[in-house]
Amino acid sequence: MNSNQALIRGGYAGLLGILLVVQICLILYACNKKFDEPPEYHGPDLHPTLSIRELRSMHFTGNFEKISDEWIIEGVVIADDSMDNFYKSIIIQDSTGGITIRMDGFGLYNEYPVGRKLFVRLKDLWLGDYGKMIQLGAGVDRSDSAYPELIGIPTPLFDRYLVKASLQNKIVPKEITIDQLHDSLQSTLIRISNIEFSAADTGKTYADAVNKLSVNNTLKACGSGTVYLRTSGYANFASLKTPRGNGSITAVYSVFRTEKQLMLRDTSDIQMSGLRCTGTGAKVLFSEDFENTVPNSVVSINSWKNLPETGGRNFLSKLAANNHYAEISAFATGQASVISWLILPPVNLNNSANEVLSFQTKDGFDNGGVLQVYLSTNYDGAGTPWKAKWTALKASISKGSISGIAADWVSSGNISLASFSGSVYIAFRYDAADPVSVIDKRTTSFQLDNVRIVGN
Amino acid sequence: MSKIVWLLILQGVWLVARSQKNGFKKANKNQFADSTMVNQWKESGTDQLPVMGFEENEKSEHAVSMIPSMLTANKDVFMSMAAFHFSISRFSIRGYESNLFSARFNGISLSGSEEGVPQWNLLTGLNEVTKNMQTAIALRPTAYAFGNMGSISEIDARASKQRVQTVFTYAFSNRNFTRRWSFTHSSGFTKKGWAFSISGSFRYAEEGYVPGTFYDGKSYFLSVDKKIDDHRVLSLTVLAAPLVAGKQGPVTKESIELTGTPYYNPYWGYQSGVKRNANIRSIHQPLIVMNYDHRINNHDAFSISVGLVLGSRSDTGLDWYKAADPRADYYRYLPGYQKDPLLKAYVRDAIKNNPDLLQINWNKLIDINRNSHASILQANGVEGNRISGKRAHYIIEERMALARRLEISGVYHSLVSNKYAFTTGGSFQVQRTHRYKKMQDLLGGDFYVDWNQFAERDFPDNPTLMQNDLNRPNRILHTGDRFGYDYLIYSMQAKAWAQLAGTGKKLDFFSAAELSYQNFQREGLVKNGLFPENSEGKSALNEFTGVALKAGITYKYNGRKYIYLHTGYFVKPPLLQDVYISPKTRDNRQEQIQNEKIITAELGYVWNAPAIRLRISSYLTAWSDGMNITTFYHDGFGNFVNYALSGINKMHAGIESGMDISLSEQWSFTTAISLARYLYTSRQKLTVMADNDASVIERGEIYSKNFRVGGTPQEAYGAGIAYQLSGHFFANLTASYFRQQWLDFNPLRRTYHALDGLVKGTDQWKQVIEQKVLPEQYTVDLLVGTTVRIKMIGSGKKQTVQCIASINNLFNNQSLISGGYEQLRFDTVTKNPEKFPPKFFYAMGLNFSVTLNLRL
Repeated sequence: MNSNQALIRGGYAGLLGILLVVQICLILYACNKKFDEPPEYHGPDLHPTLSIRELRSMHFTGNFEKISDEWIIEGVVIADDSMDNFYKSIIIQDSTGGITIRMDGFGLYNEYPVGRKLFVRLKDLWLGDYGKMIQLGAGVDRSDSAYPELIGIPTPLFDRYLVKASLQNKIVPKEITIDQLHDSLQSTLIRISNIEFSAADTGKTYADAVNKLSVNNTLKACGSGTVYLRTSGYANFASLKTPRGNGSITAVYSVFRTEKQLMLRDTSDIQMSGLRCTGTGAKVLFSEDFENTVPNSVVSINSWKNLPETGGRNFLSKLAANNHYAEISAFATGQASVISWLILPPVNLNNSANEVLSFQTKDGFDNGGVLQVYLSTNYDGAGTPWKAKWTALKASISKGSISGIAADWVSSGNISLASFSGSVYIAFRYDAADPVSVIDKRTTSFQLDNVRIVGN
Repeated sequence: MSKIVWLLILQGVWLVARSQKNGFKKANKNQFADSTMVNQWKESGTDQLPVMGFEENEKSEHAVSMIPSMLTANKDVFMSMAAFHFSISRFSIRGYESNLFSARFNGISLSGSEEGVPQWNLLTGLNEVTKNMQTAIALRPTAYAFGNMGSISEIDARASKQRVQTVFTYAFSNRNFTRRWSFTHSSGFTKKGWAFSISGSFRYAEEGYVPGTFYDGKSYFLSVDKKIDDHRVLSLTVLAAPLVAGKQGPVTKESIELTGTPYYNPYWGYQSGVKRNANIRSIHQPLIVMNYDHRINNHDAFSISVGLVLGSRSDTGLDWYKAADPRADYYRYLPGYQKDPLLKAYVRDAIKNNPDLLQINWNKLIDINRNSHASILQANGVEGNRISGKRAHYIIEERMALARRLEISGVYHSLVSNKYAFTTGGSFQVQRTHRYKKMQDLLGGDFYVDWNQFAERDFPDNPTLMQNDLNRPNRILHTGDRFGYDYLIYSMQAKAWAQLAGTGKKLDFFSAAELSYQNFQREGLVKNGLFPENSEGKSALNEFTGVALKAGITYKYNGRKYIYLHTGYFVKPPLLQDVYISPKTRDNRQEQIQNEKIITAELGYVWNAPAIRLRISSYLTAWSDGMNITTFYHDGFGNFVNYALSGINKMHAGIESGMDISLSEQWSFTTAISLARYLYTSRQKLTVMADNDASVIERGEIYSKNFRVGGTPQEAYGAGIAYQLSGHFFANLTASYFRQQWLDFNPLRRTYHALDGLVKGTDQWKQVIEQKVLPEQYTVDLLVGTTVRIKMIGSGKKQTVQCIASINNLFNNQSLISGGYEQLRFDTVTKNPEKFPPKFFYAMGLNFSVTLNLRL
């Protein structure tokens, strides 16, 4: 064998080797391909044979009717269980009306979200009502003969009765007024404007999330008429507070016997930031400009608290340029910690809406002392406020005046108190220190004036 | 009972018959050699390691304590029968849990101190090179380690210890894997003092016996020995058995009735026409061992081994967020859940007409993910960062365990005189295991969020509690990301032992003692929102000391018959899994931590004659102060709870016997009997903790006294007949019969509260508290081997091919339950235990493998 042949053979071997490597690569690639995925679902080609209004008209209150015809209704889901306010049910609506479908499953919104068009094969389903609220179910539970009840469609039978069609269909809520609420609107999406929560139900939680209990809150229209907003204790938004203003609500209409109820899909369906029906503009709930205090003495105003926690410093009344204000400073106290509280008299937020707190501050010789504003709902008004629970409020407070007193008053900005209700305390807490070590000194002085709370 | 008596009588009759016919000594040396060979054949013809394919969740893992079939201990008839034929029912010797069995590979323990269970799976597929094994049953003394209560097996797989040969093997079967190829070559020592051995195998099944399961296993092995001089040998061995396999799920009676098969597997479903399994196990854990053997003189020798285990194990599974349970056999999806008879029938019809309703609907899961639109505020913890997209509701998670283990061990052996042998040794082991979840597949979604949805549900107003990692709140997860839990376990174990054994004219004795120190510690890598104080960082060190003592005497009646008495006392430190309440999230521990105490004694009679081999042993083992922890959904509290049990006392008492009788040169008869009772002997102490805030919500006791220990048949009987023809053909037919196999019981149902509202003695009352026993079961196995001489292509040399066919469960008994457990869920309102009925694993029906060995 000459060297040429050897070279050629070597070449063949090399080629074979390369082919082998290529093949191995191909196999490895081919074998590690991603799993195939089905195309997106676009829905069936079915046609309704019955309108929802026609279906509803077949029901007699208190009865249960089994549907034995091969009827089909069509509807778009207007409410699902994504926020857990609707439980084991979805609500569909067509142009003639709506109906609630009881379904024995969780996470229904994953397959039947709001906006999903559905066909319902009615054969073998049952019509019934729960306190006059008409529903569809798969059977009747008569285990409690006094209160027979529809059974939800079992999960394995969803596809037997429900045929999914296109997604993201738009539903426009029907604009109505409270006195137009009528059984024909059951299980449909409606919108009512110029409405607000009754004064007693503002700033309250939508439901009792702690004990998982449903709550009815009263909605009032300007003019006349009331309706309940019923919310489940399991709803995601159960512990949120009802707004105080006036506006509109989009909800599903529901009844329980003779009681008219609205069911909320989510709090974004409520827009109530306007003035209440009785509103005559902003009302001053509280105001203090310190003009009636005695300069250079401890601030002492009726029902106020002026309490040192550590360091023994009180807020003092001061007078400059014909203006009275409160001031505090840890300077020259020699105390390792100076914490002092200046607390407003309790303010009742129940009879107003959209309350706003504002005040003005100036800082002096700023080296890290802090003034903060807090709110408490559980402070008992006694001499130890630091034992109560306080929520810090976000305010702009004057700072950075290192070599003197700030030239201008700094406004705190409008601090909304709309999320609080009942009787609350507002406190200014000063936190500073004047220890021996110069590095650790935080003796900034603060001046405070024009504390105001306004609301609708 | 009468059947047992008959079998015992039968054995007795044979004993008497044989002892009178003392002249039956025709059996010659050749036959013995043949039977050894036959045993070797049998080993190579049987799938090693029946441990694969079981679901490890809940309580089933307790049952997987069987010994692998390669542990045949050819000399012990009972062990051989247990390994080959009883294992189908998950028979465990003396009812012992797997941590009472030990195995060592080239001097290195196959168990880590964290789990305490020998990892036989490290050696899967390497049958040919792991045959050189000695097994010491129960308390018997060995020359290489202290041993364990159940048994200890020492595998010497060093290159120079391998038979010099080249072997090709091909096997096909209908079991977990359908094809197997292997190759082994061992050189023996060369003139320059080198020896090497290599082995490799592939095992594969597109679909195994159970639908939806698949198997893709590879093994590799390399060993090199260097003889430094006549006294010293240095060895290096590297091996691993990487495996990817689809698992089989346990089933309820209802799903069997619906599908018509006990091999219904809820773990798979069609995705675009292809069967996809959601529960896949992957293992790749290489083992590297170095040995140094030094023979000082004819009386003294020592060896030192250093071993390293690396790599990872993982299991995949579905996870879901605010969506319907994707598991196809979820109890609410079955007809039994419907109370209305018509709806029950509708659901049954729907399933019968469309069996895919009982499999995972991948297309639906993907569809839901694709249509999901969500926005996460303050995503990744960044203020104002809003991420929108397809938030996955269903994902595949991979639960990872990455282990690193280093062990150093040494043994010193000295013949003090002709009568006494002294052995001492020690080992030091450190292990680090890293456990976390990995996002494997978003199933069409864009992302998932690192939230604990149970905390989100329980504390809807607190956005910090639901964070799996407070340091990285609202973390957006993509494929490959770690999430959920993430922690390390450091464990360390040091052991020292010594043994003195003596041989006398009539009396042998041994005594041995082992002292051990063990510690472990958790280090959390994430700060869990529910447990910010004790989830991140290192926990306190848990330290334990253990003691093990054993001693025995043997009275030798003559060279063939002897009686022995062995006793042992063990103080065993608890395992990590029984100390930490929920190591995934925090470092809370059981309130009272105690070492478990075990006392055991065995009295035995052995008769080894050419025509008969017999062993009868009677044993008694008592445990006290055992602990256990389980986590499950408690319907009464409506939440996940940690159920911590302590003060578990047990007693195992029984007789085991194995006998092999040569009827003629061709025929022999074998029996094996295990007749035992395994009982809990105490009322266990119970502490229930809520899994989401670690508060103690209940204390009490479990009315568990005299409940049976589940998981293994307490009675097993085997009888076999063997025929062999001059080493060229053999056939074994063996029948096994099992009874008294109890289900592991759910402690929740045996509490004072569980019986609230039930009338004593009613059917329901009994149903709630009574323990269930599995039906009596049998199986028949056939093993046939022969040799064929074939002409090799090319050389024209004739070679011998061994052909072994093994057929198990010859009568295709498909109602053979291999294991089961009561579900830990219990409906505390209806008190109907059938709402969450027991789950079972079924053994394979008729199954076979045919193995062809070509030895060059």
